[in-house]
Amino acid sequence: MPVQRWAACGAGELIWRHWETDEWLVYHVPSGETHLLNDLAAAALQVLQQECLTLDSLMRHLSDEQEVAADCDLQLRLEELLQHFDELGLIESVR
Amino acid sequence: MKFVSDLASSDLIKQARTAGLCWHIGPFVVRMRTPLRDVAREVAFLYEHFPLGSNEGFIDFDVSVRAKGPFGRWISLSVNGDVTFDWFRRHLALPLFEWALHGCIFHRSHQYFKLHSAVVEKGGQAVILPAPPGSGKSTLCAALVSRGWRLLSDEVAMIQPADGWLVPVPRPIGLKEKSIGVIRNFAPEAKLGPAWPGTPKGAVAHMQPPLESALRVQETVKPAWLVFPAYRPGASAKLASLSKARALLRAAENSFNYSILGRLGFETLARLVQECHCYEFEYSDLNEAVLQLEQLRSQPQLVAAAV
Repeated sequence: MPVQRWAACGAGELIWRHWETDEWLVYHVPSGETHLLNDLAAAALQVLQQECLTLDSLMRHLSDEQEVAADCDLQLRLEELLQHFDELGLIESVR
Repeated sequence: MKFVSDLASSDLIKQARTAGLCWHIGPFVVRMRTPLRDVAREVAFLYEHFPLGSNEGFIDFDVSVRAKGPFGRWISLSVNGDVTFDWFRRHLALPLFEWALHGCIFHRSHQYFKLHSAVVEKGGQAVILPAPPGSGKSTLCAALVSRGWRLLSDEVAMIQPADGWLVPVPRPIGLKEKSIGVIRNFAPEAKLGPAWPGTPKGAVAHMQPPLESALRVQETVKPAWLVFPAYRPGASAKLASLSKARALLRAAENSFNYSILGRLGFETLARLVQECHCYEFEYSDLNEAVLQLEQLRSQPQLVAAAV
């Protein structure tokens, strides 16, 4: 069964701004929507802009980068994030 | 340069009735054509410090005010040939004229990024006060202006996307209901027109822009503070820091053309919050509010960084 992988929009479609800890703004050019993200969400989206990853790979990558445990809690948070990003059109599934 | 106040009353009325009375409001040229003498005089009072324009040049907003119906008790107002207000009571002509100009400036001229806000300046730095209608920003603006702040606008911050600087577009400050009496008491020297009852927003009166604000209309200014005001009865004047990300989102909610400008709108707002100290501001007493905002001027100016 093919494993679901995720990829974010191209570099030109997401415009980022960051000033304070845990608050990232990303402007999605195709929709014109502006989103406020926390550190984890921003990191996940930025990683997916660099490469197409499965949930497991994303979790390992972020666990190292954000220095958080790669546990069920993180997996659940990332699953919800990916679903939300997909609904917003910020990422797409690649099989 | 000649000003509206330089016209004799008879010339003013004749001009308004025939070719139209033209004057400059910031970067815009407005022409009013009306056979109604009282309307011409009332408008001329509010704009007396503004430079006259020419009927030969380009007119941004061509406003016509005409009486209609039995005994001329009603009016019709059109802008650039399109009817904007129709079959309104005649005594509402002046408030409707002002609202028509609001609409023109808010919903056109998208070469500027625009926020629904008051903007005032002192010492070469401007404070932008974005807030929705009915929040008290015009009252606060009138109070600040009567204490020496230059009026750029009581309704719209017009920002040049190229450099982030503010373009003045000073106009009469619209006051509603209780605010009229509040400002009459706070600033007895301020020039207010009559109160017009029975508008959709209740009684409305207009404070004439001070002479200095009209004379310095060509002076753009750098924004230094982005302050979201909220009148709360009984509240002490209090500034609370707002993160830049949240300030951007709040400002976007108060923008006339954030979505129209797309990426340029986002980048313009990002630059604005980058270069401004951002606050929420709660107040009830105008003297306290003015003093609190005056104290902002002692802050160091933020340096624009590459974004």
